[in-house]
Amino acid sequence: MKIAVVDDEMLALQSFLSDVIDYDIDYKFFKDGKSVLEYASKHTIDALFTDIRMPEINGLVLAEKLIDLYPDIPIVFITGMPITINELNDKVKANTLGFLYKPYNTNKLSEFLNIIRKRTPTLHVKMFDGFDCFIDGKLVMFSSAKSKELFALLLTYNGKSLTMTDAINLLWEDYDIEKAKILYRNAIFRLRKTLADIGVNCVCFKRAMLTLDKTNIQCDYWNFLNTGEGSYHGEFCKSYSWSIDYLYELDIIAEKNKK
Amino acid sequence: MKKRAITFVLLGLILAGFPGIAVQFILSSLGVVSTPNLAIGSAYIVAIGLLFIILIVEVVSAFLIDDSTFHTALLAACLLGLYICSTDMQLFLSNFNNQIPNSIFGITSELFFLLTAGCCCFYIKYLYSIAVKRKTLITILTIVIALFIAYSLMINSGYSYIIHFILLAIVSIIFCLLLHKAETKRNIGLTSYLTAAIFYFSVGTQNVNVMSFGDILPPVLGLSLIYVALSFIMFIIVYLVFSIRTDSKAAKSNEYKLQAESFETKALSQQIKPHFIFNSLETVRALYHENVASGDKAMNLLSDLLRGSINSFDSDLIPFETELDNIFNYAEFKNLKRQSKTEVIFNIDYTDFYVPPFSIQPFVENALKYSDVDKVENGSIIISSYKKDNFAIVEIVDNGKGFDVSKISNNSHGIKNACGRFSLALGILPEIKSTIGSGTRVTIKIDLNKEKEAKK
Repeated sequence: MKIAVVDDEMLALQSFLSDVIDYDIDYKFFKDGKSVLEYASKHTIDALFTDIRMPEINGLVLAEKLIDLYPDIPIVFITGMPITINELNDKVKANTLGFLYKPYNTNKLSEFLNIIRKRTPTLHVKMFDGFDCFIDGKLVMFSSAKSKELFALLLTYNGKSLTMTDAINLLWEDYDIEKAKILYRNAIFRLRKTLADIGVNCVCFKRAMLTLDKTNIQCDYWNFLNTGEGSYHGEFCKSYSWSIDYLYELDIIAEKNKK
Repeated sequence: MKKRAITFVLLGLILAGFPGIAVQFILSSLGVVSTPNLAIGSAYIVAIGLLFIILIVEVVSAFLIDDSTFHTALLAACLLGLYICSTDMQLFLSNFNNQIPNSIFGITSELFFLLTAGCCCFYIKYLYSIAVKRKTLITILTIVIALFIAYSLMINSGYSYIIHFILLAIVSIIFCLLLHKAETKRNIGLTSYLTAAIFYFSVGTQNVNVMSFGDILPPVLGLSLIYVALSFIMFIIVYLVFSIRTDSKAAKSNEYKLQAESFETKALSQQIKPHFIFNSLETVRALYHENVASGDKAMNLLSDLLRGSINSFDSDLIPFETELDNIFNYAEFKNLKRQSKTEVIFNIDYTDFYVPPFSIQPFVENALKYSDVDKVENGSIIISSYKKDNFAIVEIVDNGKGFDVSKISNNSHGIKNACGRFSLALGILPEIKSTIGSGTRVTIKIDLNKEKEAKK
């Protein structure tokens, strides 16, 4: 898979891309649109990342010309200034994945690359010992401790819906109900932000009820429940008070495995 | 509420020509048949002439003044039509041996009556921005037009008055419903009472007309004159109130337009002050030295924040969720560089509405900067949003040290800017309540119907 990258300030992008791109993606840098078209007429390219403001051929014209060559080519515009999809013409719009604003956002770039590779990212969840999530090998940073804990609880529910009452009873038992509801909504808001940020869309947020879509999630706890395999050392979602309730069940499975 | 409805109905009955019909009935039963009187007739013509003059003034002003509306002009035109076709005119014309058939007077006066009633309804709908579904509107119009056609066809049969009363009932019910709806939205004022009066006067005139043209009661000269005179006075007041209202509105919007221009030029220096940018860059550098991940996070937040603020110049209104992003990015960024963290709590229950860009963020910024909630036990800043009736309500509440609201104007450009944006885009002002020692509460109440109009 080959991506053509067109930008006059290549240095920044080069180091940035080499950080995030896996071995399965090859990328080639170009200084201007002309050389891309020249290259594209002889070799195949699978995607285009291009700046918009460029001398001679600007990014939009380049995109159009490249679409003539490769009708299905996905395009990402790299730009410093805000521009919206409505400013593009229909032909280009259809192929545009989105905009990568400067300074580059790693999450956004990974999202685009995943689309180009037609790959849905898998969320790796570690629940034994402490709870953490990883996407594309990177630790997911939650915007608050409670939203992280709420997500852990939802994962522990293992596909069952989590009601607001349950969540409040387990996570905010010390607060009066009104305050607890406020904190619950806050955690929801922050969890939603975090998940949107990493491009994972696995939680259905309904009024007073959360439901998890388990596809594209790899979780060591679920694995352990299903197959008995996993590195369980007697600790599960460490530091969350409600996790104690689950230890008994896990111990039984671990015991069975020993025999 | 019920009491008021009854008062309205009574007032309506009194104004709506029942006295007129009664007078007509008594006079005719006493055998006092009015003779065509040139004096009363002339007075009538003068009254109509005055109405005509207003109409001309209205129409001219509608063309000359940008902010004037056609509502009052339309109403004046319809009233004029109604009164020209009334019994008084017919009697007056009989002085000159004019023989226009009753049926033509009957049909045209009914037509103008319906138009007048429609104008009154439309005027109330406009004043209180009441939303009516297109379907309902079309249904009502079809029914009214059908009945009107039936009325015209039956005009010579002697029973057309029955259809007139059905039509009367329909338009009265619609008008009363509109008034009631207006009342539930906010307290209705002088103009609506006067519009109601005009409505009922037109009903009165038409009732007298129908009685006379249908040969049910003989015409009494001067009854229409009374209605013309009363409507005329009411109309002048409505017109004055309305034009003063639009004038002040126009002046206000002009003032805000000027302010908005200065907002735009000053916004960069006020919303994002250069020192904020440089301090932020320093923070980002420091965080990169700590670890790359938090540096990245800071960089993303800062660039989203700056982009949000630059984007904000392009639009008057943005989705509330986008404004929440601005607030979130700001609060998260601020937290990155602070030792003691104040988590802003997002208590978000409703987001389906629009706000001016960077109009709520300054209140949160203020709370973060000056309320000292981190020094208070259980200190918190809570942003709530919820829907109540037809209002979206946003509250920013902190339990910090509070401040003197009267001193806002001197030192806080952010809050002044935010208030300006709200009144410019939606015509509302955030309500700021602060008690020294116990915190601040900012409440923003957005009328969802009005906002829809503003979005257009």
